[in-house]
Amino acid sequence: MEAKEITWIGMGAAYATLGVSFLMLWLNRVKLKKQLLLALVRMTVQLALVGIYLTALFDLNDPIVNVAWVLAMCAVANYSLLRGSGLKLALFAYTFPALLIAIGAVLAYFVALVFQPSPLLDARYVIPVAGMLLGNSMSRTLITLERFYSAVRGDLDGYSSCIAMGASVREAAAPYVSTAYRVGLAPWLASMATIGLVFLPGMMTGQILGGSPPMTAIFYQIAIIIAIHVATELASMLAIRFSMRKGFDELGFLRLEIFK
Amino acid sequence: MITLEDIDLDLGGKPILRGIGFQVRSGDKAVIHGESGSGKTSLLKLLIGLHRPSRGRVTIDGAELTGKAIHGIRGRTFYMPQEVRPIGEETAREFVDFVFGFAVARALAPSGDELLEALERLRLAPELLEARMSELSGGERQRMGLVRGLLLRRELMLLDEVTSAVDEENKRLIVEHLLGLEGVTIVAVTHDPLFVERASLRVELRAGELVRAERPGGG
Repeated sequence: MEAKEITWIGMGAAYATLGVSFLMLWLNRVKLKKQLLLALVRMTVQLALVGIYLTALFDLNDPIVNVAWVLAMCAVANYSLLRGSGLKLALFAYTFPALLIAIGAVLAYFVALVFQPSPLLDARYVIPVAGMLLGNSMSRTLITLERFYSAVRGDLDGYSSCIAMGASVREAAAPYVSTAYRVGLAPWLASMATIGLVFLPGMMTGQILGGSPPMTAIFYQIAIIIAIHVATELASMLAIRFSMRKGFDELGFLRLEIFK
Repeated sequence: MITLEDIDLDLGGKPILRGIGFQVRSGDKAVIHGESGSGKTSLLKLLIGLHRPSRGRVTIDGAELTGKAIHGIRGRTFYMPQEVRPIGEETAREFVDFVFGFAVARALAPSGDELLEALERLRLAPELLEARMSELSGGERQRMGLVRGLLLRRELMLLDEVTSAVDEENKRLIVEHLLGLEGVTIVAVTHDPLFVERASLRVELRAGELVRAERPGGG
């Protein structure tokens, strides 16, 4: 069964409901109308562009183009996460391989052993799955990196005392890694525990609306959640490990110049 | 022996220490004292390479504190900052054990009896080991930090106002205990009159400059 297309009138009806949101802002004198409008325009333009490039990628369906696209998405995600984490772009060369290894390994594993599309590098599988892995890994890695470096910076005396007693950077930083890791993992655990009870994930809902039987959609959703979980774990831990080469000097000191 | 020769220290473009020079002998119980902001903590950090002098040099047993030499010296040193801050949800036992996970200290991991003895010396109840560090008072956290120091048995102890949050009675006990550690060189930043009075070397700073470095009774 194919998904029933939404007509232009239907899209107009969807946008019309935003009037309620603007009315609420106006009634409550919240001065965010301009920002909301801007965000809505951006969302529309971005998704329209996604529609255009996905159509082109799916039509082309060239394995080399697909891999190149994933690489480009990795670079953009890496740039965004460093910008959001309060760290300088000098760390790009260290966090980029972390993201690439995590996404590449998990994507290859799931495509080859779980989804098994034909051809193997089918754009319809590789591009959307890579996008989901990257989006989640980016936000988790951002939180973990930010928490890690600000925790060490906030307890510089405690960290330095371990270095002064002969600990390696890895040994001295271990408790801060663990704290950052826990902070990054907590929201994901909470959301995983309520999937299906409180909300239905977007991908699964989309598949059901697109005509897939619910159980097929649920199998895909479970596989995707596991893939996201493993990729985000790998990406955030590798990003910390790799970035420590740049983040600390040869004597074990935190390089304060990595912060913006 | 620790030797400081004509040390200047600038941090963030600001002069912190100027023209500091003195010697700490093996086994000394040295104190660095002076008013707040006189550069005491910065001076202590210089002794273990946590700051690098802008001019002059620091040597420990003849080895300058640069590059690889620092790693060797750090393996023989216990350093404790003034504030012992909990990092997460760790218990006091995990806090003490943490340093014995370092490759340089793994062989020194204490037995249960040694740990209890160290707690007793610092008048800490064994039950506190199972409490979270965040639940302990500032003084108890400082004493847990010193438990690490006693168990590590390092030949050089650098202590930065490590009794500042401890009550008077326990402060006296800790100072007496530290002064009695044989074969251990101690350099302590402190305001404690007993520690200053009984020290074998008193280094006084004012506004980043050395007022005096004296040994009571000469020597």
